[in-house]
Amino acid sequence: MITLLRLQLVASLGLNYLLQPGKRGRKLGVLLFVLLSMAPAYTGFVVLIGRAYGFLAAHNLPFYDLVLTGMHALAQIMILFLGIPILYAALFQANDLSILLPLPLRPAHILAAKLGVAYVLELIAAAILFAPALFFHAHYARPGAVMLGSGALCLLLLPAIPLALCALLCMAVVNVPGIGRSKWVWHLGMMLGALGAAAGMMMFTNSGPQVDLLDLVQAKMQQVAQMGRWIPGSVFAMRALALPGAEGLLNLALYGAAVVGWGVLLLAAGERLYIRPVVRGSGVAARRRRRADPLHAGSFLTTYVRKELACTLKDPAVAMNAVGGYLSVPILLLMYTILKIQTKGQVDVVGQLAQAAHSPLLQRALPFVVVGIALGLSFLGTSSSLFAASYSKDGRRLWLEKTLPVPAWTLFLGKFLFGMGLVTSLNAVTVVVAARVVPLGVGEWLYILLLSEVVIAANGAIALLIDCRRPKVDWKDTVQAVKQNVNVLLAFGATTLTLLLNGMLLAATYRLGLPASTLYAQLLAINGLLLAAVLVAARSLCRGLERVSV
Amino acid sequence: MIEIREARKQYGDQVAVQTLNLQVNDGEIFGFIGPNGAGKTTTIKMTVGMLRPDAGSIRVNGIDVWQEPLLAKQCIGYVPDNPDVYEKLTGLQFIRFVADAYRVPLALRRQRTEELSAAFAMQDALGDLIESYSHGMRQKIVLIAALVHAPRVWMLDEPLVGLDPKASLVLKTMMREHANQGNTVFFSTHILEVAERLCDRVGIIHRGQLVACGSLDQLRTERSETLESIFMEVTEQ
Ligand SMILES: Nc1ncnc2c1ncn2[C@@H]1O[C@H](COP(=O)(O)OP(=O)(O)O)[C@@H](O)[C@H]1O
Ligand SMILES: [Mg+2]
Repeated sequence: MITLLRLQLVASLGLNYLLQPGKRGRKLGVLLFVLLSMAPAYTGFVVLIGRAYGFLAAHNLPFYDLVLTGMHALAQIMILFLGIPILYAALFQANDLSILLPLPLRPAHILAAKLGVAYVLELIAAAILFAPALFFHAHYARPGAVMLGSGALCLLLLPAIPLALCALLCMAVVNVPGIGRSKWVWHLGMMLGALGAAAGMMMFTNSGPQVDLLDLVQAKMQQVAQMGRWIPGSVFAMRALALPGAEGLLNLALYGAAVVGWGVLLLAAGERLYIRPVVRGSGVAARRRRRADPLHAGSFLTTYVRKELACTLKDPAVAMNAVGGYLSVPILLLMYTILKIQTKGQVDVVGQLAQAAHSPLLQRALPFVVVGIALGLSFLGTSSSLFAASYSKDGRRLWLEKTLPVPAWTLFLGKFLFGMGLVTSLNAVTVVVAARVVPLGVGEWLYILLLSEVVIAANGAIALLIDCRRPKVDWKDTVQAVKQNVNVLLAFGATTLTLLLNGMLLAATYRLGLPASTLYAQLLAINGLLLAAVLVAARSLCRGLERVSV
Repeated sequence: MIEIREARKQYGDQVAVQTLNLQVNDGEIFGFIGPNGAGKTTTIKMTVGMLRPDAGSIRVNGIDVWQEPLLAKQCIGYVPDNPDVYEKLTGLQFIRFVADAYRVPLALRRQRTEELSAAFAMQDALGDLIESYSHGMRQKIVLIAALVHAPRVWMLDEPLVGLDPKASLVLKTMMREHANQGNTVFFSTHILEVAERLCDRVGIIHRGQLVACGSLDQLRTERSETLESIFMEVTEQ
């Protein structure tokens, strides 16, 4: 049982490299880089919580418990959301059941090992969120050792109930006949669920009285705690954290009992909903039959673009990650609408923007607004895995590309043209939507479209080149190829860099007081040159695909 | 014809193939045998232009694979050990994709696709997404696609693993016919009976080194009676 859990942990986290001395250095370097880039945000979070406690202490306010229980509730809610994709991946994407089922293991053990991995992952997330609050609580509120102990226990048990809920949900949905196994249902469902939850939380926390700041903070914390209480069983944990003495301990015991109860329920349900369908063989997607289309002949470049289209858009994970930033457009629109309706028109970002656009101050700065929008759109277009995981998503299938009598440049061009086709259509739609809300002239919008396309093309080519030279080929599911891919991070860094350069150029032009036409021409020329340079370099550098071993 | 001269390949500090010299002639089925991890796949990958040798040269039909890769690849049909193919294409779309890469004329690709898919009993599955194929069917679609441009040199990495008995027999017959027409068939296997019955010549590779090579008669007179005992003898140490 323990061996199984350890094996699952090592396999799912890719921890093997820690045991291999050769590769350890480089992988740890990447890990360190990622950790370092997260550090500022996390330090900010810890400082914020510290400040909150400090503020309460300075004003002698008795809300410590509220902050602590609020953070506990918040961590639970976070895990509820993070848990669904993690559990879905652990239960239904790792194809190791065919290996595990024939082994002399009880179904409950298999399930427990898989859930154990998710638990460890979520415990890390829980500790990240809740431990700072516990630390500052100990520092400022000076609770007794017993309270601290029960606080630590609550931290250890924190993921249990939300995870049980997620697992039950996943297993229930997968068993819906017909659609439960469709990847599209899952990916779209997760996105819409996150959207709905974000909107719901915003509406919930925006409602209620808003008097002065202190009352506001208190009210918010109470609302968060209230949401936490909706998770059945966790109310005991919150009481255990807030109530002193025997009453607190009693609630701690009740919390423990609730956790055990959920665990037993989960294992019993898992046996029926998870293991049994696999053994019965009903977990296989129905096979669809298509009409065979006639065998044409054509240019390889066209065929390759068509293949990219099929391999990107027919796979929900690849498609959703390729569309990337554009998914945020409807989300932003929705948030804007909700805000506007809720505040009865008081908060109307776009309306205020439109007003400001006509003010004399902004008239002078208009060219900078135009360029700013173009750069923003470029960011939207390239902050995805479309280019940066284009080779990676082919993975082991790259043997074919490497043995066909086709130059590496043709493959590069095929991927580039397909990516540009997809981004251009999305970018054009976004521009048309934006043109309806932000009042700029037709000429300006055309320039925005042109500049953003050039910047996207340059950054896309850079991202493609990165992925061509070092694609991730070892993966089981395309989710791993597009999500857990360092190349996406590297390409993101490169995009940030070129956008930063553009921004500096903009600032310099502003200082020198050059006319708008010069600014427009300059930016277009420089980004066009960058694009040309990258493509010329790519022509020879893309032959590095030869060195990639599959 | 395949000529491998002084080819060498190592992964990091692990030597996979050490200084290999090998010639496979026209009209010949060459069986490449050896234990797991001996270096068979590495040798084949170097020959089909997937993996650049650290040293040495490889020629296929007189064309250097690493100096004129596109020309050399044009006359090779390669079947890898793992049939990983684009799952979101249908079988027919996949064949078309490969045929476009080799610029196969329409008439030839129609004829080859019909012949090959009939031979491997795949006509009914060609319209389905490859996603829905079994392992053996994936292997068959890779085989059909690899042979659609009527290549002269066949490079097959463990082609019989996973095929049903009928398809296996069909493939073996096709290999024989192809060699009899003056072409080259190079395949790796660890099934000794197949090698014994099918091959004109065999090479045994062990820890990256060619430890025995020649026609079966030659090996029998030089070493011992059966291929199995030869194999055990040369891979002993
Ligand atoms: N990508 C790789 N990285 C490191 N070592 C490899 C790689 N591929 C193969 N090897 C090693 O090279 C040796 C030869 O492998 P291979 O050619 O696949 O053997 P065979 O096909 O004969 O079973 C093996 O020891 C194997 O471990
Ligand atoms: Mg092999």
